[in-house]
Amino acid sequence: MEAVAENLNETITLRATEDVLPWAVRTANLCLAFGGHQVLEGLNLTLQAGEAILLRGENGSGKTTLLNILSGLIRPDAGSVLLHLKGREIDVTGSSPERIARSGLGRLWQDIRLFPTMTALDNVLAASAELLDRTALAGITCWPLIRRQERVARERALHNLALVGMADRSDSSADKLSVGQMKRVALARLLQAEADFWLLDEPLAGLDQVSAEEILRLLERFNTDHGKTMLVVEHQHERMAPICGRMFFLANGHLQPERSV
Amino acid sequence: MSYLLHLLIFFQIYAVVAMSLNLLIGYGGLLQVAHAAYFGVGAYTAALLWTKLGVGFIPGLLGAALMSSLLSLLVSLSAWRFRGDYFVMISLAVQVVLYSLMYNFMDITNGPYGITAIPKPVIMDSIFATQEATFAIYVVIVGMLAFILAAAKLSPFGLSLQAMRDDELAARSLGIPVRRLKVEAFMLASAMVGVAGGLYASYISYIDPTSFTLDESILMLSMVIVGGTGNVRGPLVGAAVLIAIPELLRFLSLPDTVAAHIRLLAYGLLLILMMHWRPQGLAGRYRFE
Repeated sequence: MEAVAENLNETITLRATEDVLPWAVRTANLCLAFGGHQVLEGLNLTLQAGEAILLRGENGSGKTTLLNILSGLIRPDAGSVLLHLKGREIDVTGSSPERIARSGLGRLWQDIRLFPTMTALDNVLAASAELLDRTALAGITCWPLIRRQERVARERALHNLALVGMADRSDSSADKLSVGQMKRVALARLLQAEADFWLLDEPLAGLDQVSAEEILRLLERFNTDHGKTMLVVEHQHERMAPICGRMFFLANGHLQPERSV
Repeated sequence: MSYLLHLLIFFQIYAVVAMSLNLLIGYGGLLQVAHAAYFGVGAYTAALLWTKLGVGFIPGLLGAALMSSLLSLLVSLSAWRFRGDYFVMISLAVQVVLYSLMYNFMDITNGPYGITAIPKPVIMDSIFATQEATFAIYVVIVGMLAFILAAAKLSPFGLSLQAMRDDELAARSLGIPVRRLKVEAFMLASAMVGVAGGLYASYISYIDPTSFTLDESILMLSMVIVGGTGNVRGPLVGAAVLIAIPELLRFLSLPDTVAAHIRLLAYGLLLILMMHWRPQGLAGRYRFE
């Protein structure tokens, strides 16, 4: 009788937690094989909105592949990925990367991938959610209106650059920035795109201690103050762990929980 | 004076060609080798509208823009996934197919005999028959086309296009609709070069398929590469240089049979030198790779 009551309490507690924190990402039985090698095998993962999770694993264990599936760049052999962002649910496996990005998923690439011929400000401005649907025809026929919208987006871009401490380098060409500065511009780009779920592929790679601390401070701030949901792949787990609520190890296609804070 | 005006009118026409190609190559990173074919489609459409249906000068130019852009829509809808070498192959195929159609579609294009007696511009009962008048009306038309291109480039569409050129994957991951962008860029550039084709047909008053060959496409490409991409002045400089080269060769008094080959050799040599010494072109901003 006591056991039943305990189970009941546990169920109620779980439901209460889910009500308070709705899920943002849910993968079910995700399977993917490359050339006979099973990279992911029945992978299940749920992230609550506003949660930060750290994903570890050996090189080649499938961490980046998982990020590629979540971004819509690779279709899994089986299983489903659902995103629940901005009050809408989207099935990732049947959507284009563009649609997934517009639904609220943003990605910090391992190799950063800023637009090298553009300034830091234009890099951020290009991600403006409000300008993505403006066609060439609109740009020609409604020129004054579009310019006005662009001015608003530009102010927002400057604000986002200021949030990551890059306001003074807004006119610098992206290929002239240091790695740490590039990563900060890339974070401002995610803010500009209004992404709620961030996939961060090795955010600390290639950074010295000072720059890494700065990126960590920013990520913690965007997670706690801005409520961004984060899935972080990072080899320097001891540095990243303090800002992540849960930690998983990916091996042989399965996720193993390592710690719960 | 009339020789200089003739060169200036040619410069106006090819300035539009080079600017429209720059939209694709310089801003979108989309290498196009079928531009002469779309130029020809514009020239034939306008010439047929003027000579067979008797429509006005401006409606004829609009018809040329519409036909060229619709054709590019058909191609780009099916070819948007391709980039780099594969995309170049597709545009090469388009060039060959459209040229063959112009050459063999006797009932409409009159095949190798071409279309003659294409009228001079007539706008609101005013005939622009002299070179001076043609130059003046072309200044207005080319100015409007340049404004349209500049407005498109300065708009969010232009910024997205540059983002796509720099890194298509990163652009897609930010929600930039690359498929729509490519289709729009091709439609806009083809509409522009279609109008240029109409201006060419009206000025020359005779067209045949030999003006729209692959060689001509390579000449257009050379204008953009030599002048430079990614800004407004690059393609203008390129158009001026590539129009000037054959004129300068005239002073060498070469026999006609040799002059054409020398001209092609000069273009080839210039391209090789530019690629080696100045990949961004004479006045370009974006380094062409």
